[in-house]
Amino acid sequence: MDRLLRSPRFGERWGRHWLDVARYAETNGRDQNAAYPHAWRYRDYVIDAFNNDVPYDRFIAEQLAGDLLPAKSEPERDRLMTATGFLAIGGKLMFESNPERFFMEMADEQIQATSLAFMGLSVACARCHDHKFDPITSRDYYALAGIFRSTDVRMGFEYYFPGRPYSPAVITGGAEGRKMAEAHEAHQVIFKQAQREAGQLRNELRQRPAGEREAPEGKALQRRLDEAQARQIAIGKEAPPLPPYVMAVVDRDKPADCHVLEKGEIDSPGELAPRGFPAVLPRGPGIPANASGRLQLAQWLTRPDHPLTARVMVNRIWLHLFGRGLVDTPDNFGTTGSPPSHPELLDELAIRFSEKGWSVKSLIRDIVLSRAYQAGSDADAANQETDAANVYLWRMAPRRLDSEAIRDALLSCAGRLEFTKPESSFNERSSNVQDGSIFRPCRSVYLPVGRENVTSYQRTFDFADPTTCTGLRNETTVPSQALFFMNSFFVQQQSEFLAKLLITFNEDDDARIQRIFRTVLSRPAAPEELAATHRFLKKLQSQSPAMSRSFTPWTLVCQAVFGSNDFRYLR
Amino acid sequence: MPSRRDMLRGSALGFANLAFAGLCAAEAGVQRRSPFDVRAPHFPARAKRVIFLAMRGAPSQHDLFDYKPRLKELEGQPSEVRGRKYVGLPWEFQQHGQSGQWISSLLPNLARHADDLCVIKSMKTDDQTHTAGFVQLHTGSARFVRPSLGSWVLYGLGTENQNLPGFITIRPTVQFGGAQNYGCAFLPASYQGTPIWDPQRENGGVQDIANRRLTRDLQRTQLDLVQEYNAIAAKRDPADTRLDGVIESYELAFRMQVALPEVVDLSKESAATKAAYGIGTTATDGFGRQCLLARRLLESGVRFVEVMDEDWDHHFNLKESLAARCAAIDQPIGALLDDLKRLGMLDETLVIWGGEFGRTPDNDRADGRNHNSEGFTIWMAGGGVRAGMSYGETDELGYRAVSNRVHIHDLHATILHLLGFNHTRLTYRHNGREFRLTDVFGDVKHAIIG
Repeated sequence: MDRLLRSPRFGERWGRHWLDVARYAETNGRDQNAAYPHAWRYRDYVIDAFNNDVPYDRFIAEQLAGDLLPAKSEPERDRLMTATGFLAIGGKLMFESNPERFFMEMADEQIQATSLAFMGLSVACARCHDHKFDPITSRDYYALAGIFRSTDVRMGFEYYFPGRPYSPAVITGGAEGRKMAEAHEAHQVIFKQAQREAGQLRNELRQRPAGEREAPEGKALQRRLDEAQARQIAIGKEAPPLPPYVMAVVDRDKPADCHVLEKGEIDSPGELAPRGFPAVLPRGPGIPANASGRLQLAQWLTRPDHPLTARVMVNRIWLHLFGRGLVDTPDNFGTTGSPPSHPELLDELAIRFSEKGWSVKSLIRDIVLSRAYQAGSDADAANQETDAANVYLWRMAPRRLDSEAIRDALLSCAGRLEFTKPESSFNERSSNVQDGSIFRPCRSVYLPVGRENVTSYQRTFDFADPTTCTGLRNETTVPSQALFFMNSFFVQQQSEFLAKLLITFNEDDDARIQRIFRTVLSRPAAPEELAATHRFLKKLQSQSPAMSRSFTPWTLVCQAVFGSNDFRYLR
Repeated sequence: MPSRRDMLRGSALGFANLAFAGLCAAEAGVQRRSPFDVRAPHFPARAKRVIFLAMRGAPSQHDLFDYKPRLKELEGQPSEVRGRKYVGLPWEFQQHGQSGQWISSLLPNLARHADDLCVIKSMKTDDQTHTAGFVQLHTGSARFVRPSLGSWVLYGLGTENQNLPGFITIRPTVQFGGAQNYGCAFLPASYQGTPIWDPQRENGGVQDIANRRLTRDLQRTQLDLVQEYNAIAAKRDPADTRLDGVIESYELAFRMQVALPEVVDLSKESAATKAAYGIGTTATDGFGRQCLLARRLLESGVRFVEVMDEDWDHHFNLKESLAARCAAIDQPIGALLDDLKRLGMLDETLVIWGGEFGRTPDNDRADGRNHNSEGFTIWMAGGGVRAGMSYGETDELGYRAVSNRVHIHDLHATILHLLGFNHTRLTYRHNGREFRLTDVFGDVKHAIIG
């Protein structure tokens, strides 16, 4: 247990759960799916935070106000800046030309992310009207909006406003980082110039009537365009390495309150809503006039008597350990959510969590050592009849592996998994879907994540939708999953690798089958499974004697065990 | 009657035989051995299959079907809601067909079929947020995870083509409830909808449809081994229906490898057909392909097909955006209805068109409309609905349904009725009680049944 909690793999697993909640993606989505080439640094921050068991109250403060926390060293400062990526990586209206509307939309996205992630409460409805179900008013919404409007997001992008002002990303990495950034920015100037030239020529050519293009003048223009494009490509290739930029937030120079906007419309400002926190919840600290209020927001969220923060996180952790939360709607603790199945247990765990220093690892340890967690997964007909969903925990319900676990396990069994930590998945100029990324040998948490642009593998296996906070993923059973196990080159390839490993052991068929089962399912084969496999091997001999060297009957057996239901469910 | 599970346990011969047996059973209409085998409903009914044209975002009834001429006079004046003004009617309305159905100039092709439509103008739903509304439209419940309409229909009727999924959703949204809208919740996993993500791509964007290494026989032999492993696992946990779902999904996947590429291959359709659906024309290509594919699926015996179109949420820029959406769907839907008639299928095919809710006569800025869950329009055609009918009314300005109101639960009850089910008896036992699509609600609206 303690060994597993200490393993660096822990953060990769549990960090990914948080990335679902943080709607992490490396592209913008929405109206322009531009790449976020630096977003991965936030991903790594989250993984490290779980590995280092950063107390959850501190984890919240770092993500909401890391830029405002004291830091003893430059690396620590960088780490805290990176943490605020939580507020910076959401989808934005990149093509919005009205600054007021752009910033209001961005604040809205941040309010939604913050309230869902930390409070399991949707505040965003109150943008246009007092919340229909929960006691959140428009005034509450604009009080929060004032906090985020007083916050500047450093995107590393040009706004679409008149004049196209630039929002620089934050440079980390000290003097070395600054040097890299200078080189990069200098190169950007040259590259953009080349890009503009090529664009102008392209336009010029396009505007000519078709006939003229064949004329000598048209041909000359085409030649100039070809040259300009070649120059652009050549300059692009000379790009210096990406500096350690991070998407982050800082306070604006002049923090200010927001007006309540009638129906959320920017052109009908109503009364001023002083920056603050939803009135129905415990009172928060006062926000100084010269501060955005993010630090106070974090303090308010983590005060011991805050009724939601600890419960919501405890429920998230429970959910990932048991497959089902004590509250079945992990992102909705409001009146339209499900009531808790075990309210006293939820409260007890929440109190323990905040009293014992908000340690995620100790909470996991406590739960895993419980009798409920250690219960067997055998079914019982009577219980199944009255409580098929296992709400009352009469057994440990078999849990479905998520898309990352399926892929990681396939690679791991095949002996191909590498514990490397790739960096950016998208370069600055491309945000295409990267279906081929499945073949990279790294863990799935390091694969590209495109907002509104997930890979077909991710989609097939119910990956979290990065447009919004996802506390609970879908769990579907569709034929496309079967097709993946039957036909995908990826599964065939892992089966081949595993089969090749097997033949290095000089052992009889029985032992070989057992080795496959132990490797893939972490258990020996039952006698009937052995018998079935033998029958298969025999049948294969009669059916198809011609198999290639890399593609043997054992490849097919390995693939069959990968395809079996027991591989996909954890019991 | 032996269950599928019993069959698996007793089967020493492997799954090829079982799958074959399942096929024969379907054809002869005998014992149901697979969850997909055809089943008779509670009573004879005209509708045998459903196509649901889901307009995600909430289309404006005021500009399409629910003609409120007073709005022309009131345009720009303050409305009964503080801060809002009435929005006029940018498009002309005309009566069409013998029935005199009012349809706006945005939908000229649909108007050709006015006498086939049953337009319900008094729809009502519980919530006016998109996710809640869209999920309720599909599952009856915005609050709990419940099986979708298509899953209930597949559960009730089985499907006629054992080589294709019985419930297919074309281009579903990943947001607004995502997979919940075609999910089966607690119903056995086999009843879940199968997405075809993109009809504009090869094989509809369904990956890994072909095995490049094994002959079909060899693949079958290997699949038998997988299924034997699964049957052994099933013995250990006899009540876990998720396992049956996995087993079924393999068999279906195996059969789909041949059937799916054929059915999604639109190149087999004539140039005239493709042109009729607007394929090859920028505005209509996407939705045209979705509709033509849907027609091919229905023709092949798929029980429930959903076709989705997005971006009907027109708070502003109504004139341009609504016109664009209508231009995208009108010709394809017109062609679809033509085709269903030509093939003699419309009578047995229930066509449903609608969004999660409707819109208001007024708005806080010109050229847009707000959400409205209190009154909106959907239409149905074929499948035993009363043709050329307008049912229910909203008030003078279209704020709320005032006569013959039809709640989503009532719509669901009526749809099930059209398919031959008493909605209170199509149930599934879960967590110690019987569940149904309409929960404890739902009135069948007999007036709209032909």
